[in-house]
Amino acid sequence: MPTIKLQSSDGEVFPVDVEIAKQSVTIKTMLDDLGMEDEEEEIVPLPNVNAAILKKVIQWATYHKDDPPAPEDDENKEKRTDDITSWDADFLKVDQGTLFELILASNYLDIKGLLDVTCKTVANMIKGKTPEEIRKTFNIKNDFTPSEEEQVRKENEWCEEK
Amino acid sequence: MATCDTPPPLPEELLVKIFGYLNLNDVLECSLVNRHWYRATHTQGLHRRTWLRFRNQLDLTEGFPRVTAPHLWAFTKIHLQGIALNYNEGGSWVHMWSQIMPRLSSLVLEKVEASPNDLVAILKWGHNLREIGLINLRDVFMSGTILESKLERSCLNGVLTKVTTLDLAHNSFLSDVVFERMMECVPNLAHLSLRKCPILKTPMGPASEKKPNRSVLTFSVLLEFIRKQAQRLQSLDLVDTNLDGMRLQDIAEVDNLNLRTVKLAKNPISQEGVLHLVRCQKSLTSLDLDQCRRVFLDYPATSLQIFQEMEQIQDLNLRLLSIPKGLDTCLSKLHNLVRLDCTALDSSSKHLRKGLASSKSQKSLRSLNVSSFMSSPENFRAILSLFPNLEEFSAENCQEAMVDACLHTLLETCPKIKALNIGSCPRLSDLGFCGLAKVDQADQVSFVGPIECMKLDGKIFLGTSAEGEVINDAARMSTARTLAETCHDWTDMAKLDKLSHLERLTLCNSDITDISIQRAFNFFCLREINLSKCLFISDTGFIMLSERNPSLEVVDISQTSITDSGLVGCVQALRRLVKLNVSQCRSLTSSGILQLAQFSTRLRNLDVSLCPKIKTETIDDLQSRLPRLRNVKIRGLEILECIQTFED
Repeated sequence: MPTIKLQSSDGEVFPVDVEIAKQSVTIKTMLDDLGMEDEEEEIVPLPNVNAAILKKVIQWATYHKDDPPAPEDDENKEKRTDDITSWDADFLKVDQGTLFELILASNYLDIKGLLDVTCKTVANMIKGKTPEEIRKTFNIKNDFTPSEEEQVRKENEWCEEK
Repeated sequence: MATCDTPPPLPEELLVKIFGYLNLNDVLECSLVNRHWYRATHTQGLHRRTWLRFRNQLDLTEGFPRVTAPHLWAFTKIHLQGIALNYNEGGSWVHMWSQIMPRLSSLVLEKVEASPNDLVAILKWGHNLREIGLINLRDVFMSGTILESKLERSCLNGVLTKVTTLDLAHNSFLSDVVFERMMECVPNLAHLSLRKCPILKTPMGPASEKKPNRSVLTFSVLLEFIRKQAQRLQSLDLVDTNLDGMRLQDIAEVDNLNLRTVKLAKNPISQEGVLHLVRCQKSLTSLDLDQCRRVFLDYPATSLQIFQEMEQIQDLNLRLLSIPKGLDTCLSKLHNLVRLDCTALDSSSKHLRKGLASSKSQKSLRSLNVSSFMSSPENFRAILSLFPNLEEFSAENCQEAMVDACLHTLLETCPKIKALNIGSCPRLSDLGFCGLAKVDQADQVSFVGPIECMKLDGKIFLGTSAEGEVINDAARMSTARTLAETCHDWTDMAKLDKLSHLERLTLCNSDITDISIQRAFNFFCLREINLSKCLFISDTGFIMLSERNPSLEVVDISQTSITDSGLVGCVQALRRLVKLNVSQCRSLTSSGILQLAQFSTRLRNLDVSLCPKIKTETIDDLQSRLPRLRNVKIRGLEILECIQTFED
C-alpha cells in the first residue's frame, strides 16, 4: 500500500498509508489537485498540527479506516451525543487542552468523523453545568463586566424552546 | 507551564457546532461564559430553533420591556401570548415592527388582544414568514371585518408567499368569509390547523347554491379550499372540529391530495370514513385517532382492512379507542411504526403482544404508550423485550401489569430510554428500582391467606377475590420494603440509573422510598422528575435526589411530605430549577418557600396551591425578588387564609 509522509508543525515526520490519510479531505484534495500521489518522497507539511496531536489523529484515522463516510449534517434532525462508541470514548479520555486541539486539528484537516465525535464529547462536558463550572472545566476566563453579565441574563429570560 | 494550561480558544464556527448538540437551556448557560462564547450563541443557526416568547399581562403598547439588546432581534421565531398589542399606525411602533418582522420565520400570536387592522399591518412586513399561528384571537376574528379590502388581500398574497404553515386553532369566531379571505393570502399553504374550531355540517347542495356564511365556518368551504390547495397540502389538523365520517370521505377523495399527517382526535368519525382516508391517502405517515371511539367498534373485518392500508404509517395514536376483536392481526400489518399510543385502548394485552410481535416494527419503534392498559406482567415483559430501540415508554396507571420484574426487563432490553412514565403503578417497589435479585423472592413469598389475615386484624371481610388481591399486594409491598431495608448486597442486577440517557421520569403516586433514591437515582442528564404523591420519600431522600441530579430543571413534588428543611436542601442543590410544583405540601411554610429567592434565580413557574401554611404576601415578596418568576399558581391560599382568620 502506498504511503505518504506527513510533517507536523514541529518538524516530526509520520509515514502514513495514503488510504488512511485520505480520510482527511484537506489531504485528499491536496493529493488529488497536486497529483502528489506519484511522488513517493513528497512530504506534506501540516503547519497547524503539532506532533502529539498529529499522532493522535493518525491513531484515530487508522482505527476508523474502514468506516463508512460520516453522514451529512441535517438541520432538522435531532442531534444526539449518546452515540459515541466505547473506543472513541476511551480515545478521547484526554485533558481538555488536547481535546480542543483535536477539534482544531480535525477541523483543519477536515475529518468529519473525528470532528463530530470530539464536538459531541465537549457538548457532553458542557451539559448541565453552570457558566462558572464551564469556565472551570475548560479553563476559560470571564471577561464580562458584572453589568454585562446581568444584561445577558436578562436577555436570556425571554428565550424558550418550543 | 501557563501556556499548556490555557487551551486555544475555539473559533466561533466550531463553538456553534458544539452548541448544536445542546438544548436551549445549556446554550443559554454557555452565553454567560465569556464574550466570545456569547457571540457564538447568537448566530443564525441557533436562533432558528429558539423561540423568543413574551407572555401574560405585558403591555406591549409601550414597547417590548427590557429587551433592548440588538442580538435579541436576530431571533427568527417569536411567540406572543396573552398580551395586548397596539400597532398604532403612524406611531413609533411602525418602526419597531418594520424592523422585526422581515427577519421572522415564525410568528405566533396566542390570545393576543389586537385589532384586525393591527394584525394585517404587522403581517404586511412578513415576507420571510414560513409559519403563522393565530390562536384564540377573539378580537381579530369576531367582528368578521378582517381583510375586507381586496387590495389588502392581494398585498398579503404577494408578501406571504413563503408561508407553509398556518395554525388557526381555538378560533370559534372563524366564519366562512373570513376563512376564505385568510386562505387567499397564503398561496403556498401546506400545513393547516383548525383544531377546536367548530365546523358546521351543511347539506351538500349543488355548487351554485353554496354561499359562504358570514357567521360560521362550514364544511363545504373547507372542502372547497382543500380541493383548490390539494397539490400543496400535506397536513391537516382537524382535532375536535365535529367532523364526521361522511365529510372525512369527501376530504379523502379529493383529487391530487396526498396528505402525510392527519389529526382527527375527538371527532365522531366512522369506520368507513377512516377506511376511505387510508385507502385514498397512500402517503399518510401520521394518523391521530385519539378518542374517535366509533372507528374500530363495528366490524372487525373492516378494522383489519384499515390496518392493511396503513403499511406506511409511522405515527399512530389509538388512545381511548376500543378494538374488541382482532387487534393482533391488525397490528401485525404495521411494519414501519415509530410511535404508537395505546393509552387506555380497550383490547386484550395478549393480542397487543401478539400483534406487536408479528409486526415488523421491532427495530423502528421509538415511542410506546400503554398507559392504563389492562395487561398481565408476562405480556408486558414480552412486549418490552421486543423493542430494543425504545426511547419513550409510558405505562402510567398499569396497576396490575407493571411489576418489578417488568421494570427489570425494561432495564435489560431498552437501554436508550429517554422518557419514562411509570407513575401510579402500585406494584413497583424499591426492589425493582434498585435491581435487587430478591425481586423474585418477594413475588414468590406465600402470604397468609386473605381470610386469616383479615381475621388477625379483626376487620370485616366480604370474601371477594379483589379483597384478597389487595391484601396480598400490601403484604408483598411490606415484604419488599423489609427486604430492601435489610439488604447489603446491591450489585446483582441493573438499577434504574442504568438508563443513562434518561431525561424525563414520572414516578408519581408510587411507593418508592429513600432507599431507591440513594441506590438508583444518579442520572447524567435527567431534566424532569415527577414524584408527586410519593409519600414514602423523606426530606433526606429529596435532598439526596437533588444533590445527585443537579441537571434537574422541572420538579414536581406536590402532595408529598416534604418540609421546609427538605425544600431548602433541594433548592440549594438545584441551581437550574425552572419549574417547581409543591402544591398541597402541607408542611411547607412561608419561611421555607421564601428561601427560593436566594437559590432559585432561574425559577419561572411555581405552584404552591393549597399549601395552608404559605401566605399570599410571601408569594408577592418572592415575585418581587425573582424577576423571572412569572407564572405562579396560588389556588386556595387566600381562602385558607380567610378560614384561618375566621378560626382565630
